[in-house]
Amino acid sequence: MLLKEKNNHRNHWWALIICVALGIGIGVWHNRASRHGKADPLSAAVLTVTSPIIHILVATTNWMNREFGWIIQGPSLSRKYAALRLQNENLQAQIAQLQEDAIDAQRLKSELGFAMSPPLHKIPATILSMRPIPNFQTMVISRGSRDGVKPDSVVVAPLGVVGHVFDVAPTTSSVILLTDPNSAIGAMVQRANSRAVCICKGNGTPLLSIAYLGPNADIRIGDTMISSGLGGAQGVYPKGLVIGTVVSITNDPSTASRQILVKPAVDFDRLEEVYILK
Amino acid sequence: MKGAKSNLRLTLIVIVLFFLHEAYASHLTIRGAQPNIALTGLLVCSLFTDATFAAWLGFMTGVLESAYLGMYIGSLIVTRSLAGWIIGSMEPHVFRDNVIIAIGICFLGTFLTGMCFYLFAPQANTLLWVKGALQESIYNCVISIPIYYIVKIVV
Repeated sequence: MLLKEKNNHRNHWWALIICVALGIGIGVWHNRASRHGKADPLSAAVLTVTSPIIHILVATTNWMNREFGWIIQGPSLSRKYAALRLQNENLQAQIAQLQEDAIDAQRLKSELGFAMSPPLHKIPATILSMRPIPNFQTMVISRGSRDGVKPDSVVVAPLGVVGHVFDVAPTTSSVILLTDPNSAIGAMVQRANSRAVCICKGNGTPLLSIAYLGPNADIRIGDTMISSGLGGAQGVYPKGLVIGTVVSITNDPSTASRQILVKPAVDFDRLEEVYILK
Repeated sequence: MKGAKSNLRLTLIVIVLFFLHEAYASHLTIRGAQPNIALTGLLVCSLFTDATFAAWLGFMTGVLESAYLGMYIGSLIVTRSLAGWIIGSMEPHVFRDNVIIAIGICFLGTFLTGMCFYLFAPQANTLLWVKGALQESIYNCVISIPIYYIVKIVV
């Protein structure tokens, strides 16, 4: 009896040792594959097998929200509709004005001999999983290497930048969000009399912090920050994508620096679809 | 209870909870806190099996979760295997027919798994990480109650 218990105990230890050794092995294997820009076969297989099921779950929920969401939101819907109609009319007027300006700008640029950047091709993708592990600001989307997605591809939503791809499997891609502490984007102020350049960094909270901003740079609360195309830690974002709005500027007298926080233009918790820039 | 059939059922429960976690956990965010349904499923299921199978269950959860995270693969697999193994080892010694035990184990298990992960893969902001792990532990305690009763009925 005692011997049987001892043997059982030994088997338990072996199970743990094997699991830990396999875990470390798989981790090393994944890191090696990532370094060469490839997906490790095990993760790719897991994603290929499981992602269609998650896709069905997500698509069903989104459909139900669209079709039956009004039952829950009923009373507030008419107010929302009126506000959106007004906003739509204002935006239509702004679009007409901006289109006129864009034609002028394009004509002037071509007359001055500026190189025109080609329009970016957008691939739509559904979000399969937002923050697959709590505390990590990442998400998984429904497009992968089979659709031409590559590591460092930029992911955007209609309102602004979402993040960039860091791991690609055949049918899915993992995206690191702007708010992740490992994320950074070269940014500039979108104001005619201030083109202050800096870096917007994620810090694990819903807001981004600004780094490497000149001490005399002109930046104010309410300023819109756009990507500068100049780099950041990743150097993958093209110029002119909306990042967010400056919501707080705090002076730190001890270091004579300013702590500036930016609210991302995109509400990550309400995203359903994104676009990958190609 | 420790038969192959109950182990198969536990595996299926963890897989189903993993799918629910990936598809819906982000919709359950309250004040920045998000539950980890897959980890809670693993911790509760480990109460109903032995250390060997619980370690394998943890290994499987780690492989599934890490494929979706796309980074810290080894750390995730090792911490989940450890969590399953430790709770599985406790199985002959704890009174598992009480939901309070499951709640306590989920709180401690989630928090210690988070801290263990931090040791393997240190993160930029320690305080933020600890706060996140605490929030997740509390949330997991709440969702462990229905999961515990489901596991009890199914197994």
